[in-house]
Amino acid sequence: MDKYLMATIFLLLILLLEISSLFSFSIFTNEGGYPRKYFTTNIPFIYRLNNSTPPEYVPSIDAGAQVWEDVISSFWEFTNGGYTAANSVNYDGINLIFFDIEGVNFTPGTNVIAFSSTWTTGSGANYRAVESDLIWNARDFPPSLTGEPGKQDLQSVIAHELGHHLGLGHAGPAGGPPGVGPLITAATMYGYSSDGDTTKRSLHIDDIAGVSTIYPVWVLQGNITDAQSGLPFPEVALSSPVVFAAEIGPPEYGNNVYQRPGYYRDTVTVDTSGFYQVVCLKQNFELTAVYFGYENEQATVAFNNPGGIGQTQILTLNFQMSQSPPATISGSVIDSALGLPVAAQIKVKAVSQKPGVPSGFIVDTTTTHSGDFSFELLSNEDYEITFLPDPPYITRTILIEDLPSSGTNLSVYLHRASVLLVNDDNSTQFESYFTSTLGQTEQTYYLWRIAEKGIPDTSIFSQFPDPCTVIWFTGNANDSVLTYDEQLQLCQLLNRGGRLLLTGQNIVEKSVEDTLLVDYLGVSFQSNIATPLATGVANDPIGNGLLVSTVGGAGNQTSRDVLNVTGNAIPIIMYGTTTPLGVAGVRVEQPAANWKAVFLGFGLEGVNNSLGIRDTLSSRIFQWFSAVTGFNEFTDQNTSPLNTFYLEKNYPNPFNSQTVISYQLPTQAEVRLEVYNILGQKIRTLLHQSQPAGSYHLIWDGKDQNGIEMTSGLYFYRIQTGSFTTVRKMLLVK
Amino acid sequence: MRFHFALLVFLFLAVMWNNSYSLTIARASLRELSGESELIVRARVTSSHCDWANEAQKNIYTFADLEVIETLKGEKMDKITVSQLGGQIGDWGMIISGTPYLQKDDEAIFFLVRNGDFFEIHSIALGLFRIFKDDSGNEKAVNDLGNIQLIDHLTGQEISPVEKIQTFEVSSLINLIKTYTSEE
Repeated sequence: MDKYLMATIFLLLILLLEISSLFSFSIFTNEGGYPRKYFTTNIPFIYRLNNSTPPEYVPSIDAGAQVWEDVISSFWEFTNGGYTAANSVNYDGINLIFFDIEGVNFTPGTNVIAFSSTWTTGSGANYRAVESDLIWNARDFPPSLTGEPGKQDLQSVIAHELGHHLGLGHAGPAGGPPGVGPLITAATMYGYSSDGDTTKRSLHIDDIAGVSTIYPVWVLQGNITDAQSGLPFPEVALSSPVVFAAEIGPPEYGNNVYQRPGYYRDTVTVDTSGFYQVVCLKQNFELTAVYFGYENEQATVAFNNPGGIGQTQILTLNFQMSQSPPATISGSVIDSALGLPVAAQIKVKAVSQKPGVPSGFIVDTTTTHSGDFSFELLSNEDYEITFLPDPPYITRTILIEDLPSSGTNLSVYLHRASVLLVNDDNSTQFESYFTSTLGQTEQTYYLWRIAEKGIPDTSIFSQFPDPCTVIWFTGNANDSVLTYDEQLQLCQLLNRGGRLLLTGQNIVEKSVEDTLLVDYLGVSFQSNIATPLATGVANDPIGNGLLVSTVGGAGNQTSRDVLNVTGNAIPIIMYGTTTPLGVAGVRVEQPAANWKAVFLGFGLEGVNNSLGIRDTLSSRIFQWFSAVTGFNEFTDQNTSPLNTFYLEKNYPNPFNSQTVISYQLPTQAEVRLEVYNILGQKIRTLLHQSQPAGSYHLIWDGKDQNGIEMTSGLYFYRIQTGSFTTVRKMLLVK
Repeated sequence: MRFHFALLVFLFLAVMWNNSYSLTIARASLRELSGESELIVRARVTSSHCDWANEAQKNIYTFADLEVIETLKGEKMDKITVSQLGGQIGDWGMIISGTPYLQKDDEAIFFLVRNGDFFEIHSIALGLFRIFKDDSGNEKAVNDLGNIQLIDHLTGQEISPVEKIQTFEVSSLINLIKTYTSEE
């Protein structure tokens, strides 16, 4: 291969951009980026051994050279030229390897173990190496042939040093010498070694890519065009199942050294010209041209056998890219429990691992009121489709892989959330602390940002299964104020039998003391407190045994509130450890109206969760809420002891016309037994009266309070006797 | 004219030389360096040039003329010349791996051994502590062996990249050197 062609190859290689490499060799160059290589007139590189070389060294030296000759994708060759009387780094036409046992090249007392010298000449593209010598201070530092400790392994060092001779720098690390690319410690050309290390005797693929880049046997090139327009097609990825290519970047300068970092590749990307040219490491391989929205174009590459020193086969392989046909995605969004249609916003992102993938959403649309949708996307690509419904449904994302040209039909079932999570902060930074805890406690949630959607009201609360459970957090201290309207809506939540966890610093300090705080929650502001530690109240169902630290969580607790407590509020957490310093949190319930609330004078997001305290506190609050998961079935008992309240499973279940509901009262009690639909709407009161202790049976005939037959579906029946409440589910099948 | 030639030579060196980093050196302590060096000076490079070492043009040396600022060990001299194997003359380059070639206005603490009419830096690179001012204006001396394979023969381990760059307060380094040399 002539010098001009080699220079052209290196310049064109700059055009290729990195996609997937993690590895890096480097090659020495001059300031113009031309490699410090031996021209073919100096190959094979004939090394000669000084006459004093111990014969037992020769096999290790030759083996260190042989590993480079064995690289099939490089025409570089070493030859042992025998012995010589030369003993210095003089420019004498002899590539010397000298184990200087007499130390003639080393001043007494020197710490130099070995050094190499390379003679260069020429400039620009004519820059080249003409001689390389290696001299080892065998007087003071004899090498090892077996990798014994305390000595440098001869074969590994020779392989490494001859790699330098042929023009390679060190492999990595990034940022400059002793290498300029990413770190690759397994390479022979890695810049560091220790005594006794024999692992560098064999070449790494990174070393192979390096020598192949300087002395290539196979080069692949071609043009990429658009099949329809015939114009150059830029930025196509050429990808193979195997590492097939090597490429190098522009020169980098440091410590008086110019080097170009190199990479080995299974994928290369063509720049804007649509032309590519790449050094190949394999003789035969499959190659695929890939671009978003276009059909993959495949080809088989088959090079000739290596032709010898200086022989580089350049194979031309062109690709024509044809656009993929559009495909239709249609379907409907459905309530997973009721089978009813749900309206939702739809956003689509392309997620194919290909060049040309558009950023952002490529489809932003909505379903019809009946939940139906239909839109077109380019086939053969991967997409992420997100359905964003109104409350109480949970956002759902579906991944479509390799969309067929025939399109696809989707039935998207959406689940109802059990918790309304309200972010009353101006940022989204604290949401993850709550969503993480909700995940740990197996709660599903709908996230409501007041900054985006305004204050949620009864119309929102009513969408959630009764009793509607709301977690409301206020985040940072500077905007932790509950407005009048917000308090009003939370009062409405409690009035309809809801559950509320209200948490945040400065809520009682900065908010107007209105009905919610004073009359419902029974709290007011006493003071701020500096201590981050708080202790759960002994024997309290929520606080018992907890040591709560607000250091190490979100790190935003700068104004914790100490609470004055009035009315029915019961302290659950106190600031301080051994001595209570004030009330940090309370729980309140109103059995008559069937609401429950927990208020924390600090932000739950600020609780250190390294020991799971935030999760435990949340879990206990949910347990105390009892019905926090709406009408998900729950019960405290697995058996039916005679001295407890008990609601048995209905029979039969599923049922067609009627079903029997049985329950047990240990004492006389006011009993309310009601039936609810999946929306949490009460449809029938089966019983509301005082009953003496005993076992009872009721029949539900599948009709509502007005005698109208209900449709098929899931229903819940709830018994309430004073403080005892239990819910079970039943399935009506017509 | 001579100054311009030297400057051109060094500019050329700065952009053309390629160290192959295959210099391998055994680590030495500051005490060992102080004991083994014939001459230790704080000095500034006043000029530098490359020359063939013999008429047959088979070796290139770089010669750096130093103006001595302070002698820490050895015979006091105002000017000395340090030779380094390798250099660039015209299109011809002789690259000795890992050699920290000296340029005009370089200031350093040199640990030197005699080689004929000239001095050499102890172990090519071990005996050079370049002086610079940090961001606060304090004088520091750094022995940068980052591009050298450095072996600790007490442990048999190659030394980490971070350990290869030793930086001292200049005054502290000088005091240490004086302490070590006074113990001889």
